[in-house]
Amino acid sequence: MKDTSCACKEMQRLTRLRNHRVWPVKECGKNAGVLSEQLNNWGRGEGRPGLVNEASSVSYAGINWSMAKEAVLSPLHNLLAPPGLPCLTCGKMISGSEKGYPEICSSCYASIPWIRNLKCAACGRPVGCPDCTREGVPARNFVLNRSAVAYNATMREWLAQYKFRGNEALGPVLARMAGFAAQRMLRELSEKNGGTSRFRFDAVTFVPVSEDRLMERGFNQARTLALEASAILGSPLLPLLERIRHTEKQSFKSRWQRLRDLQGIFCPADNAWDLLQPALYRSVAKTFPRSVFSWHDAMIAETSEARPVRLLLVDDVYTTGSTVDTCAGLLRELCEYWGRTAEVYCLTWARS
Amino acid sequence: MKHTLSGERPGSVLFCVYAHLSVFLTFTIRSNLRVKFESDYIQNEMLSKREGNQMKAGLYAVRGKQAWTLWVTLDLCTDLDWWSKRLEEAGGRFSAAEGVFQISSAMPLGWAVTLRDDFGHRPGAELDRWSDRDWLRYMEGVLGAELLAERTKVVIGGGQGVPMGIRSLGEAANLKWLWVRGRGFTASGAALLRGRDFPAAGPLEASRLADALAGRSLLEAELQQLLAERLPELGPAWRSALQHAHLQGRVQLTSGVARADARGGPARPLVRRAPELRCRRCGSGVHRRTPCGSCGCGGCAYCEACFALGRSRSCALLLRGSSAEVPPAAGGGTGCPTGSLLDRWGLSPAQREAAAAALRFLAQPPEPAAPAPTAASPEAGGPLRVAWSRIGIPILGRLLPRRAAPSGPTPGPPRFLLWAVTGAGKTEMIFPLLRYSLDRGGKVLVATPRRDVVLELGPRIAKAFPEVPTAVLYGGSPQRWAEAKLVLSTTHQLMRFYQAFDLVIIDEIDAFPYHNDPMLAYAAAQSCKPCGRFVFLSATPPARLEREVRSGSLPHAKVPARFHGHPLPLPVRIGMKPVDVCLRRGELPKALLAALETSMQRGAQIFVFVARIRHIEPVVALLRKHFSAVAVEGTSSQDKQRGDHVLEFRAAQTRILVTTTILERGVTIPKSDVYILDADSELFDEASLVQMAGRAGRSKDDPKGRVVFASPEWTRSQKGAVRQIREMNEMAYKHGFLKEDEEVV
Repeated sequence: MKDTSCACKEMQRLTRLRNHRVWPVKECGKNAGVLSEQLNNWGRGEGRPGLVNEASSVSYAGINWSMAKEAVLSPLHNLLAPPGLPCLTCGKMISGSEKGYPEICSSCYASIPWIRNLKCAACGRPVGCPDCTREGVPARNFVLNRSAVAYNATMREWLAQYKFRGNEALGPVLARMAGFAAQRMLRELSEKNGGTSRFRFDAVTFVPVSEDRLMERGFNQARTLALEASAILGSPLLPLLERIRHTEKQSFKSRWQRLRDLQGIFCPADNAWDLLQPALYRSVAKTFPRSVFSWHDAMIAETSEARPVRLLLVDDVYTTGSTVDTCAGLLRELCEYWGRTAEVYCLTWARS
Repeated sequence: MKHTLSGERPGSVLFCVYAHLSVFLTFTIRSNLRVKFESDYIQNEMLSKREGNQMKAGLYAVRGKQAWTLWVTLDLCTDLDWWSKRLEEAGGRFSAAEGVFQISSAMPLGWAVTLRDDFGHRPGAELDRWSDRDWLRYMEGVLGAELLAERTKVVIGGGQGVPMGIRSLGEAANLKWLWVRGRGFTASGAALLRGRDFPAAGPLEASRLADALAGRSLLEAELQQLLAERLPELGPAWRSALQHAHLQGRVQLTSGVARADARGGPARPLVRRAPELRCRRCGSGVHRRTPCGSCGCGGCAYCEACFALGRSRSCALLLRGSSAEVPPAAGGGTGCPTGSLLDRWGLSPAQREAAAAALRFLAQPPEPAAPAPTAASPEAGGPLRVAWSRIGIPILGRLLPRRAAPSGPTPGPPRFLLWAVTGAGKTEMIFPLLRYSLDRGGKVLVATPRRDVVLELGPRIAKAFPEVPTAVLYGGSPQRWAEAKLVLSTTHQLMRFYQAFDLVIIDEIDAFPYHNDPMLAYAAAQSCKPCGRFVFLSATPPARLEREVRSGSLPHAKVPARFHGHPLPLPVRIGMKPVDVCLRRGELPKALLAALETSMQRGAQIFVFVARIRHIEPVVALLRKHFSAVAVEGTSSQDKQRGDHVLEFRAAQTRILVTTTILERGVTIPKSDVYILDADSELFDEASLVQMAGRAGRSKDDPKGRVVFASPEWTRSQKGAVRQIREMNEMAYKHGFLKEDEEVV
């Protein structure tokens, strides 16, 4: 009597487990005969020949309690848990995500080709760079370029999703990635400076898009990235440049076409200097004096007209560098016009 | 901050104090600095935007004989012309206008549409007394949520508050009379007409544009493509032509994203909620607002569900062309037109019976009740609700439910389900239906979720209906803007249609991605005319339809037998360890290998279905080891050469193909056996098991293919699949659709 009631309970549990398609098995002598017999008759109530349950070779005598608990509780858990969000980039439900990137799943995060080791100190390329070492290349207008990621097929797809398809939810993700690169760039430049004081940009600016493109797209991707960088670097974001002429999409062009076509696309904004001027003197405030006198010197250095204007130029992708180079040249011209020298640093989200 | 600009030579304590002070000041200002720069930037942007105003629309009110109405316009001059001329020909479709009152020459399109939809028709006497301030107050009331979105800082780029957009309605509105009956154009109206922005188009162009747009639902970018292909001579006059067509009532102007309950009526819900935004193209709810360079709004909503087909935004122009009504059947008789129609196609008895039932369904006169609501009808709140509020009991009107969302299942055209087993010859069965509808001058659509099926179906249908203009639509199809009577399309392309078709046939309704996607269901519902018909085809209808069939609320016909008149092969079970375990041991179970050996000797090609993509490679390797003489391949959704692999299998160059559920339907191999490993996996539900089993025995030369379910346990879905196949076989036997007395059970 006792035995059968026990079997019944076990059976009920097993029914539940079976419905959840979990089939825990643990060898155990108790009630083995009754249970295994019942179970083996299970899926073939009709007694159909040809349908042989392989489970007959295993004795279902006991229950793996940890699995059983999971089987009973997980539906409850699912019911009460907040609804899962699909990953922005792959569309699958997010089961685990990396810290700081809650919108994408961990496998998508793992596929990001972060640039960790630079091969080219000038253009920030992760592989050997023939462009920067090529003979007869005119001097660059910018000091250096740093990028967050290598521009591979996945990154191309992400950017296309954001830029061309208009999936603006990706904007913050890409901006955060660029922000990470900005932080690293800042650390690198501060170290190069001797590590005594924090390296500081006077202003952050970005590569503009044309009026038509802005109409069509509704946003400027470089500006989104620049906004995040400016927040991290603590420098104001200034729209110093404008785009005059609407060019064909860059992606369809050969290298030479690109280099040539960019002449005369950009110009400084009308009010560029008015925007920039307050920013130049603003930086005084950043280093609070340790002593009045040391600060005094620092201030002289900071406000001195001889000090170069440090600008950070942000764009989405660095391919040949022609776009950022043209813009950097313009920024330098702009500063020269007002009697200052400029150092332009570039930050791009991806380096191809 | 200007103090420090002087750059004077410091050198005194006094200066230090002074500088300290300025540092302090700068500190306090610093946090606001970026915001200041931002707003400068935005203002520049806004200023330059005003010259272009592409994504902005004009809004004006027309004082009619009895009521006021609001109109959205892309070219105010055309409208002004039109209304001033209506005077002479009063008594047409619209009553003559008493006056035209401009509300805004350029405001974000989304706002204009919201205002227009909310306004509806309003009695004239009350509005005549409205001052400019009353108008502004009304607009502020309606656009509350939008203005709030402008005022609050929109978060972009990782937590930086950016003030952007339009601060007040005053910026957007400029109220003035443009034309008054009897007095003619006012000074500003005349000035407007003199400084025409866009060339005018005549009624001829307008009607050509309206014809091209008939039955379509297009965003502006798509319209431009259509114009470039079909009406290149229109040029910049398209705005004027479009506006003409809109005024004639042939094209609806609306915005891609708008309020779900934007159709007003005097009654408001008891509790005011924030208005729910919906994409008018795909029907999804919209929750994301971003600053927009196109309309200058700080909170321009865009739809995240359908952006793959071009972004649908608050400020995106969405055009819906109304298609011409097809006159009811000429004969007028409701008798079933079966005989002659069915003979031509060489259908099997089972196919013939089902096609006849479907034809009877098509020939039914439309039910007089429940006229489908159109977006333009002003009293969409339901007649009862309007009646209540008319007699002064608005509270009762409020208690009545608002009109159901358009995606709701109950209203809409009648539906019919053709439940045909795998390999029954569904395509042949739809031919008589297409012919019937086409003969009555209707436009018909055959849609299926899968692109390869569309491509395969195209030539077959073109062959069957050589004289009918046919278009085959899929992503990147060259025929996108072609005019056609018979359209073959993927279900995603349906989003580009609006009440276009008299007969909509949707094949494989239970297939990905159509299944469980409310967006595509909405698109399908939108593409059918209110008086049209739906026919669904499936071998394994989803649970919801199956329930409706059982309860008798969905008319249907079952085709229980294959066209060759042989029963469906019943799955046989082989017990085996899970594939994971087998792979770890590095060998497949003997029973399975023996069964495969039998199939090989029979000379059949073999489908091996596995549950996981990661199983494909190792299973292929094991099979290659065992069957070294034959070609074994594997393919999955991640396979770049999937098309080639399938082609090779079709050409019988590959003997064994290991794959996942992606090949569960649509592939027909004359002599094939099906093996499903891990058939107990939860990735294989009843429907997909039936579909996979349906790959076997499809040809009349080899009707007895083998189907094997190999799994450690016998699950509900496996049982269900076997039951479903057996039931269909029994039914076929009972109806005498089977050729000879074969064992059915």
